Amino acid sequence: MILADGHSRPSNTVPSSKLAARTVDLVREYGAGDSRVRALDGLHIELHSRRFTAIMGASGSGKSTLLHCLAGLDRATSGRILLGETDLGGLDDAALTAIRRDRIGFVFQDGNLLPHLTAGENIDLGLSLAGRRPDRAWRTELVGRLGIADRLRHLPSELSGGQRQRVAVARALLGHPDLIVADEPTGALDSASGGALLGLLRSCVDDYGQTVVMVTHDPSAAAVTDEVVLLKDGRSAGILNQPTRETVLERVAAISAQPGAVA
Amino acid sequence: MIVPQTAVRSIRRRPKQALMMGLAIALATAFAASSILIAINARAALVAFGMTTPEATDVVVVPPESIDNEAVAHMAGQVAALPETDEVAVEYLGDVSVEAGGLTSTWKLTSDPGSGALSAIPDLEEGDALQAGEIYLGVSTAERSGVSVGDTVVAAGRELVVAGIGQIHEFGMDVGLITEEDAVAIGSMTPVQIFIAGDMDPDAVSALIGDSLVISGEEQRTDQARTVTDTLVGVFGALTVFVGLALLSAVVIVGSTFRTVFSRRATELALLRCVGAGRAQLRRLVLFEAACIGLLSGIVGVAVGWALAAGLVAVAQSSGLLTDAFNSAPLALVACLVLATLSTVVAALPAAKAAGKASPIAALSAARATEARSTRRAVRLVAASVLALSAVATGAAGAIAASTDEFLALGLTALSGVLLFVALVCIGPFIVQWFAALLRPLTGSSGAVRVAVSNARRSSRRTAAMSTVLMLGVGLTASLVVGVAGATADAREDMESNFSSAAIIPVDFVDDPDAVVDLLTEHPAVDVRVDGLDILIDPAPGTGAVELRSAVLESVSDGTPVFWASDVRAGIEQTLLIGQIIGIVMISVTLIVAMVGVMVTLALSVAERREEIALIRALGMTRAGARRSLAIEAALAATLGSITGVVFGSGYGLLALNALGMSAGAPPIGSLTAVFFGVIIASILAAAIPMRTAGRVSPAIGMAAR
Ligand SMILES: Nc1ncnc2c1ncn2[C@@H]1O[C@H](COP(=O)(O)OP(=O)(O)OP(=O)(O)O)[C@@H](O)[C@H]1O
Ligand SMILES: [Mg+2]
Repeated sequence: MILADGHSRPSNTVPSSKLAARTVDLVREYGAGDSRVRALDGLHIELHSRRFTAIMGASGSGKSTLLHCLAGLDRATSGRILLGETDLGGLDDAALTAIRRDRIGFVFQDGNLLPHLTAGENIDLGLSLAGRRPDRAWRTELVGRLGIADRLRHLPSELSGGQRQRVAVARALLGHPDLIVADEPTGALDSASGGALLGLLRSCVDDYGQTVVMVTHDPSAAAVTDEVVLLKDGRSAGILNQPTRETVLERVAAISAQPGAVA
Repeated sequence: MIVPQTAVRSIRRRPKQALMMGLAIALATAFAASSILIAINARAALVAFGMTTPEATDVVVVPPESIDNEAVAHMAGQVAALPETDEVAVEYLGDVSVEAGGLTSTWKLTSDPGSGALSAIPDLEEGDALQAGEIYLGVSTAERSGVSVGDTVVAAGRELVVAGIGQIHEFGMDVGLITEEDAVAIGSMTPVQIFIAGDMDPDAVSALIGDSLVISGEEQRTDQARTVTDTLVGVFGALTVFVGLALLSAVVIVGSTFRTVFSRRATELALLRCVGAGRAQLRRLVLFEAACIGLLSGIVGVAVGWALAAGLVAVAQSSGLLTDAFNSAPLALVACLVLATLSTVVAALPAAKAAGKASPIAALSAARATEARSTRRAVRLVAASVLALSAVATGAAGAIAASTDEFLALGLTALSGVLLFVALVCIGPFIVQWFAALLRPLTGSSGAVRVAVSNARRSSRRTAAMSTVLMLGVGLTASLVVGVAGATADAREDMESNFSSAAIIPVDFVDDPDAVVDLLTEHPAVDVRVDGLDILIDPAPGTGAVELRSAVLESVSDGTPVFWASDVRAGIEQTLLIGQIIGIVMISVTLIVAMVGVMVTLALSVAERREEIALIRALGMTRAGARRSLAIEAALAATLGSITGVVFGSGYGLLALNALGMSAGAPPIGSLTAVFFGVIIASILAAAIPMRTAGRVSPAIGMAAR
């Protein structure tokens, strides 16, 4: 679908590697001196194209930090962050801004929509900022699939939490990004809405060929994904392919039982 | 497109906030617009007041002061006999006691040829030219005294029939035009000048009449026009200064407001950065929103200012002070709008800069960005030092210039004051922090006081903005109070040294001084002596002021000019009072802007700290305590602003007096104390609305997730 609609994607996508993004020896430190915190400590991970990846780990293990680095929101202290073939480390603020705008889609914990723009305008926000017009047919299909076609003229405050998340998903998908990042997207939803949102993200991958990476604490959510990357103290603690709720629970328990774990 | 759209939406969704943000600008604009409109409309009156030489006048002869009426009439006759002369008119002027409609009051009478090119009477549509035994009245004068055409008024014992009523410039006084003949007959009117129309050569006239000052009509009109222009430049200059100060206060307030509002919207800005807005786009967003708010506030301000000016002009018209139709001066109003917009954009520059630096991660993390961020100490300290040094330098230059050029000295002193104010704006946050630290030991166990002091310290830039605008208002008021006190003392001193007696008759003003002295000496209630050029009159022992007055009036002939010390004193006091009132009106705008600043700043402070207030409430602070902590915050800012304002204002008031070569006199401690406490109380009152909001914050929201 994404290829069929003929939308011109940024030229630096390299499908042959089959890697949407990867990090090499990624270190991210916060603060200085005694208060220095090493949030990521030489992390290697690979995110495959057209896959749904979950990132799990204890609180403070560096999940959000990793996501920020991948999305061009944060910079590495050392090591490399590659989005496709683009090394984000060498880019200035303007270039990173353009990457976020054109190649990344965001879904946050609480929708994070601009409060005074309508749902429809929020969906178009990224493209508007780039001064581009959305692909009409694609937009219509998206809002139809997401069930928010009749809510486009409403303000975020007039939508339910689940609807807000769907608007955020529509915004993320509209520009055909190389990577969609989601930080605990179901965190503020009840289990039904959460389940529906996960289904949506799943179909982004299956039906629209997107690459999605999601931080979650919920083993059932992780079970929907293709692969779980486990983090511990800013390092990779293994990968779990084709996870189920049980295998995830098992691995997480195993990791926290190891010495040095954070409760 | 998205940038203007987002900005406009955000204003539309939060109109109350936009209103609050622009309130100070709207006020300053209203002040600017009304001042400009009033000045423009008063211009015609000023011109008419100053341009008294008729258009057709070719030559003006100003006779020497000591000359009598006959000599002037003789002179006029000589000129009239010249072949080039078309017309001659002698202008007599005098304050004459007139009885009209049963009331007696003093009117300003002027002689007028009644018709022709040298007459001030507008062309009559009906009725005849002014004749001897007749008087022509201004519209308002006739209205006030209830006289109409055909009635009789009595001027210094002479009956005059009202021949016409029309538009002559009255300047709020009772005025009438009479013939030269009647003016001479009344006696107490002085020949001021002789207007001559024709194809005249001033030199020839001068040769003919010798002793008098002869100038061409052209020259006199140019002189008068220059005087009018000088007055207008002075008026506009003073207005510009006050409007500028009000706008400066507004910019300080609005700047602080924008910083607070946009730091509260940090999440929103960060979100925009996340989805790909560049730094420049965010800066533009803030500036565009500022421009919209500035424009809207400007429109409100201009409308209010227009209404105010139109109302005042209407009142002035109905009392005869102004005659022309109201001039709306659309260009000036557009200029006010542009000024409002620009000022708001300038005020929003720091907020725009901060918005450009917004970190996109802030959108994802729960960390709430607040305004409490480090201020660049070094830059501010350096800027403040440079400004303070320049202030001292200009102040010193002003003190030196005082001996040569009063206005230069005054201007330099004012400039020094502005420089010092900007210096204090620069280091305001540090002063606030220091002041709060100073007060900390005094806070004791009261929760409200502790919360207030720590808030003032934490948001030191915001508190400083409140304090600095209050300081400007208080400083201006204090300098005015000190200046006026000094000027009053100076004028009184002058009076006492020039006016050693209860009344004076200048020897030059009477035909036979010895006769006058003899007459007065005969009266038992009067003590008379002659001192050089003045006949000095005092009450004899045991005589009161009222008895003295009637005794003097009995003794001297009608129309003899007597200058009463008490009248002159009252005149001086009145002039000072008028100056004081105008000054207070001008300065109160700055003070009101400052009060609005206190209100808006505290309201934003409450909005920003809702969760925090809720949390302290949940932890046990009472509703009254929450309110009290806000009142204390206002009082803190006001105390700081008042102290600095009174100190610097008094200092600059003294410098201004020195620049004008006046002695300072006793310091007006009472008035200054009143200003000091008045401002603190007014600030607490200004905090009333935000206090109510703070009291209403429910403790429950402190527990809820963001
Ligand atoms: N801006 C920051 N400044 C200092 N330390 C930070 C900052 N952001 C994150 N950290 C630290 O980095 C470490 C990793 O944080 P991160 O937010 O990535 O954890 P997380 O895995 O997302 O945790 P959670 O599941 O609780 O969201 C933590 O110890 C955190 O305290
Ligand atoms: Mg996290």
